[in-house]
Amino acid sequence: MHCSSSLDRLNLMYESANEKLKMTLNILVAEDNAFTITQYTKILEKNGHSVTVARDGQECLEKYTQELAKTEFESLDKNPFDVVLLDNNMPKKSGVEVAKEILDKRPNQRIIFASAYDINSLLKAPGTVPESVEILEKPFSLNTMIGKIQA
Amino acid sequence: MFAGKTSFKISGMVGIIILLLGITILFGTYQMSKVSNEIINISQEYEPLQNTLGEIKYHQANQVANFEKIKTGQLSETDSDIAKEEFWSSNTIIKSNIAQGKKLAETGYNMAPTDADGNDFKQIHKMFLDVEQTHNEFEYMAKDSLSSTQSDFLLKQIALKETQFKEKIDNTSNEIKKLNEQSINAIEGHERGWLIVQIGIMIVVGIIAISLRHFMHENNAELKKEIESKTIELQEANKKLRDLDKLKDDFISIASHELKSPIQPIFGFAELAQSGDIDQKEAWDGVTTLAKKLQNLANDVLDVTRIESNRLTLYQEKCRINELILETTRMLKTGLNKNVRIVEELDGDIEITLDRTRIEQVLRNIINNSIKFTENGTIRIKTEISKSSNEFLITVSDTGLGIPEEVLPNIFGKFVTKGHESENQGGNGLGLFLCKGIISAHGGRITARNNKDGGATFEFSIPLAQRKTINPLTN
Ligand SMILES: Nc1ncnc2c1ncn2[C@@H]1O[C@H](COP(=O)(O)OP(=O)(O)OP(=O)(O)O)[C@@H](O)[C@H]1O
Ligand SMILES: [Mg+2]
Repeated sequence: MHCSSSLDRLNLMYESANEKLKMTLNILVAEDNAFTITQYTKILEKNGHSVTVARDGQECLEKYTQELAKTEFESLDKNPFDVVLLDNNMPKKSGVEVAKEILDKRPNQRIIFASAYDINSLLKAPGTVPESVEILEKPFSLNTMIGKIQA
Repeated sequence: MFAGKTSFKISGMVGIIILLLGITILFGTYQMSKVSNEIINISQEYEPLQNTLGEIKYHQANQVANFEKIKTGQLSETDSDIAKEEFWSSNTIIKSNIAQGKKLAETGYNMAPTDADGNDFKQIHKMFLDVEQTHNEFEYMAKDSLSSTQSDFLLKQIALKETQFKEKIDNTSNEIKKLNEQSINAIEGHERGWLIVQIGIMIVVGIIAISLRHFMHENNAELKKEIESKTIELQEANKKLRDLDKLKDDFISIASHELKSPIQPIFGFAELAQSGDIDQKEAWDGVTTLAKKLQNLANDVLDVTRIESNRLTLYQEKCRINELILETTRMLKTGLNKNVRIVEELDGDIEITLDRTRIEQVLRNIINNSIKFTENGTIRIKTEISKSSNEFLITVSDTGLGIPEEVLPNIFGKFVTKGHESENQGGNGLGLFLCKGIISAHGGRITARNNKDGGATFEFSIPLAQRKTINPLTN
């Protein structure tokens, strides 16, 4: 992985959308259930991704902003994380609020919403979840989650 | 049911007023028709009487003229015979007219509606009798005179009778005229009276209408007030229901969310154990913990609904309260993995009537909270008997983080929870709500406050003499 030619090759593959590859994604997970956090981390790291964990909405925003400040030096149009996986029901700030604030900063940030709330009621109320946000209804299989994240 | 009473009152009043009006009008109409009919009848009687008198007068003049013609003696035999003939025929007509007049007076007497009217006709009848008498005398004298030779004395007598007769007729005629005028006056009087009655009826109707209006107005105002107050009551009840409904909705949505949330990690454990990513023991431990959490939550939610619908049943028994506290703390101490000391300072070792399980639930909730929010320090449990208020007082104070400002005002509410920083401070926020419900069901009170030198203090009481009525607070 440290060899520059293989990195170039990886970048090439990244360009071609049809290729399915095991790439390293930088993922921010916001979730308040300790068990769930352990499980997410386990399965995501097993699939070769790097995981940053936040235990509530506020912590999630803080970590996002920190990372944003770092990456902005490198490239203006690169998002700090490839995916943000958000639980809706969290202490301090709800998933919806966090998603809105993140999209204010980076409008093309990919966000996956993991929610135990009935999806229909989430979708029915317009303006609650930003349109670009993907939704994953709890409970879901961890493999489904991996599939969705890597899609 | 004020509204019902008022509408009943209104319809009753309207009914009575309509009835009164009807009676008044009916009575007035009857009275008018009766009076005017009588008067018309009477005045109709007078006219033929006058006519009769006219006839008598006319024929009497004829008779007298013929008599005088005969008495001059200048007539031829035939003329004298004709005059005599006319004399006697006039005499017959007069007699029959007098008889008719008498009969008319008699009929009037019989028909008269009142005694006064009757007397009038009697008077007329008497006058006709008088007229008849005079006429008979005249007839007698005239006959005498016609059959005998001239007698100045007799002639003078006859002339006297003749004048007398004329006077009598005129008197009668005048009397009848007078009576007729009287009856016309009476009609006018009755008409005037009837006018007064009509005015009276109109005034009465007016007064009734005005009072009805006033009454209706008052009733309307009353009704309006009633409707307004009822509307407000309904609105309040409606709002209460809506609030309750919203509370229920909130409760259901939070409870169902909380009940759902352990499901995701349970699935996760199963999946990871299957794929061999974690070992079986770790998975089973995790699932057991989550299942226990679910069970506790389900129990709490059930207790909440019991308290809210006043269905919390207490199984009361005599119990040494201090022993119950020691038992509870012994159990809690065994599970303690923090640098926290639990110190009991128990006073007043007595038996009180309570539900063991429920009071233990309260103790565990409160002491567990203290453990949860104290990193290291002391939890002090004190008991005492308050003679003045006849209660047993239990105080639990800790040296922990203290109650957050935003939680304190509503700390005994449902789903009021705030973990501080630490990870295992999370909860459902039902613990203290249940404590309050259970203590209230025992007839006691519960309070929470922050200590001046840090930490929180919870105090609750159980009455020594159990009250009969048990009403858990619903909020
Ligand atoms: N001893 C204490 N020190 C500081 N804060 C407290 C203490 N006891 C209660 N609180 C505050 O009151 C809140 C409500 O307590 P409660 O016991 O009702 O709910 P919980 O402990 O959060 O959840 P549950 O008991 O249902 O698991 C707590 O979340 C906490 O913020
Ligand atoms: Mg608690």
